[in-house]
Amino acid sequence: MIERVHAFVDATVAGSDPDLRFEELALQVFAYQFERVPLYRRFCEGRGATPGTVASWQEVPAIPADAFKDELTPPADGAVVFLSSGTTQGEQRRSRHRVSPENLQLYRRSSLAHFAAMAMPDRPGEMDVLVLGPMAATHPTSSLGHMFEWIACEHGGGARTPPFTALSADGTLDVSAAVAWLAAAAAGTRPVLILALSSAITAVFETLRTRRLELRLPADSRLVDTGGSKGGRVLSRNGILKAAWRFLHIPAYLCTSEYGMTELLSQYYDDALRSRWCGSLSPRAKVGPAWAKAMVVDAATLQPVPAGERGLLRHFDLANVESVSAIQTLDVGHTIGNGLEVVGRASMAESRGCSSLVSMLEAGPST
Amino acid sequence: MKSTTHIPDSESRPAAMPSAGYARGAAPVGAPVSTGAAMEAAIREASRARAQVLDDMTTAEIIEILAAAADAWRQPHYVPRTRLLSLLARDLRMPLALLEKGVDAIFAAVNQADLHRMVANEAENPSAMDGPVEFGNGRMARLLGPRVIFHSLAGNVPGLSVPPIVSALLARSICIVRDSDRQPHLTAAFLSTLADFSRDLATMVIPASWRAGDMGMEKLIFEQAQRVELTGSDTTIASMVSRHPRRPIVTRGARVSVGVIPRQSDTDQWKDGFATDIVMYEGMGCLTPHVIFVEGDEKRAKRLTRLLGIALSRYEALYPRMPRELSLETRRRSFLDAAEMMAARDPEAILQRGRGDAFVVHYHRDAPLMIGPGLRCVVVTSVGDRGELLDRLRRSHAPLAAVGLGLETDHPAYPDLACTLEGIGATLVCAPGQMQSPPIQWAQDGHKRLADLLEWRPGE
Repeated sequence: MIERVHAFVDATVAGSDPDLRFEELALQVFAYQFERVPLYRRFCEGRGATPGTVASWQEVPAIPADAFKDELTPPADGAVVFLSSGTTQGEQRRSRHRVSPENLQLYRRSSLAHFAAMAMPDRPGEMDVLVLGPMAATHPTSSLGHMFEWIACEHGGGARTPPFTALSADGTLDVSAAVAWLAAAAAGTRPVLILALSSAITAVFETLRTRRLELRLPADSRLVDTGGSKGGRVLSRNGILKAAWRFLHIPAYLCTSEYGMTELLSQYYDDALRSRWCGSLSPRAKVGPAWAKAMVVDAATLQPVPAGERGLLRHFDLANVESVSAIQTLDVGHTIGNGLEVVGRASMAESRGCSSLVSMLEAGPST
Repeated sequence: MKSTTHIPDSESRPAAMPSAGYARGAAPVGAPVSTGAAMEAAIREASRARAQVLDDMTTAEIIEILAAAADAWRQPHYVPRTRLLSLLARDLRMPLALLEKGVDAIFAAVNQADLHRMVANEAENPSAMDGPVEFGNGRMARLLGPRVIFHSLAGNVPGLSVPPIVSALLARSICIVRDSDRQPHLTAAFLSTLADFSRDLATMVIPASWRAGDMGMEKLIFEQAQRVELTGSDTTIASMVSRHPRRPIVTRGARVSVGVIPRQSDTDQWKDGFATDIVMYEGMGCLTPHVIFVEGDEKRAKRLTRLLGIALSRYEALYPRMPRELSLETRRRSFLDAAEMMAARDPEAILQRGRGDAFVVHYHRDAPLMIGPGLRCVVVTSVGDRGELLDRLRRSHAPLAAVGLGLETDHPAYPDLACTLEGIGATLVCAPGQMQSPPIQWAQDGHKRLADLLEWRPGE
């Protein structure tokens, strides 16, 4: 099954028609997961749904994201277990997403492809990379860390100019070092790619403000942040866009916010840069890849809500081929343009997110 | 001189009631006060009315008036009642028929017998409430409440203002009531009725309404009130208390209620009572049972789970659940998600759900005692013995409020068990089906409503 999904990803990235349509493949993946994941099968049976009764991806029973707090899939040789960052309910209640080596390759392929489409449509070439978040080396159980690592390798300068990482394994963010690195980069000519947790970039902006530093990063520099509001003070979306321009001279259209979660191996990105590059002026929205679809459902009935109305986000991610693809979140959002606006998590839902990786933000000035 | 007191015939009264929210030929009564100047004027007017009440009205007369006004509200065709019910149904998104039962319960509690009992039980010397008596050493004093009391109330269930108003008026206190924005109508409507019976008593109650963040109004009221009581979410209360760090404030935050079926009792007879308590006010108040503990064999708890499912199905047909705002429905979804996953994992778990998830009854052997989402969601759990029951109740995430005790009151084990439950913090122990209809003297924190207000006041 994983080869079929790989083929689908390859075909859609190449712009050619895949052998199977999303719908067909989704139903095949559902049947595969129904057989393979006993807990999911029981969950579906509890809802009276089987591969024989489900006719579209929207009808596939979506397992609650919290189900990943248990072992959904059996241990496998060489598998990586991605853990969500600490939650308000403590370490024991972290989501666990077991990913086989083959599925890890699919994760790499899919995340790099969609990142390139959304954050690099203008192909700016080799960049200097600053990571204000986890990396696989320091955070081996972070799915975001793996993705940042791959992106940094793909778009950075390789061994000549390795990415600069300001978040240590124990969660300490070295803000002063990050600011010093940015100041040096501003003196150069190579564009900069900043991959950041929202709380971490907020801490950097606050330090720049405190030190009255307004840097001018080279043209085509850009910021990709992971959104979210946990783990420390986080500027609003508009606040980040304004601060990026004021303190780093990065225009708003080169700021891309990501929406993802440990339970999903595909990501959604703001389409501001891509739509500008394509010449369209659609409102800023989170857009997923061709191999993942989302819908907004009513919290009470789980039925789709009318376009533009707020509800809970439900995902179907083919990249999750070896666990469960249909996931019901407690994230609140609505459709907008060609994508989604993620409003946040419902207030009563558990606070979670990668920003809680940051245990200490060292934002004090060192004059 | 007697103040104007007019007790109409309670049978004919409802049809003749004025429909507007104002007393006849007078300034508006019950209209919320929202500015500092208006509040100062309202307090001056209330002080004048209070002086009149202090001079002229006995406790028995006040009780008679309060009971008569409440009785009007129990008449099915009383125009202000029918109007209020439709407003409440719209604002609270609760079925009209369910709210009718709720309004009946709210005003049934305001009856002469219970009010006299409250005075007799809680006033050190009831006759001292009517006039000064010798206090000792030849000194004369009167048993009264503070001059001004301020209540800030939650908006999760209707009628929260009624008991504070009743106890304040019995104590001859001016009562400033700030209702939640979500349901501002009941206080005004009740005061309008009260004004028809005694304008002075109605004038002593000042409904207030102001925008969150209007510190001027809050400061003025905190200066004027000798006693401040806050009811609401822990967050709301903490926020208000933090603004007045030196001020003694009575706070009533989140509490959890439960059901208990002891081993001496049959499970089947309590299913309808618990279903009533679960459905009433859609489980939004602190008196709704979130967890029902069944002592004895697990089969008993599982049987109750299934029977509750049947009872709640019947209620769903009578009182269909209306969807609530996204945040509440999301919390409910989170509960249902967890229950559904547990049922998929554990073959012993039972999940009863109505059509379209209209209700959820989840049997779970080791369920912790937590405040659930309400909205017709309840957990049933079994406990091996009394020791385990009490241990799990003590480990509650929130203080206890009500315990719906499924045991006949004349059972020999009842007094001991009720006493034990009160000993671990339950403030109301009653039969299933009565949890949402507390007596007028009940206060969520177990304090005595009237006794807490009364003090010997030599000067009055």
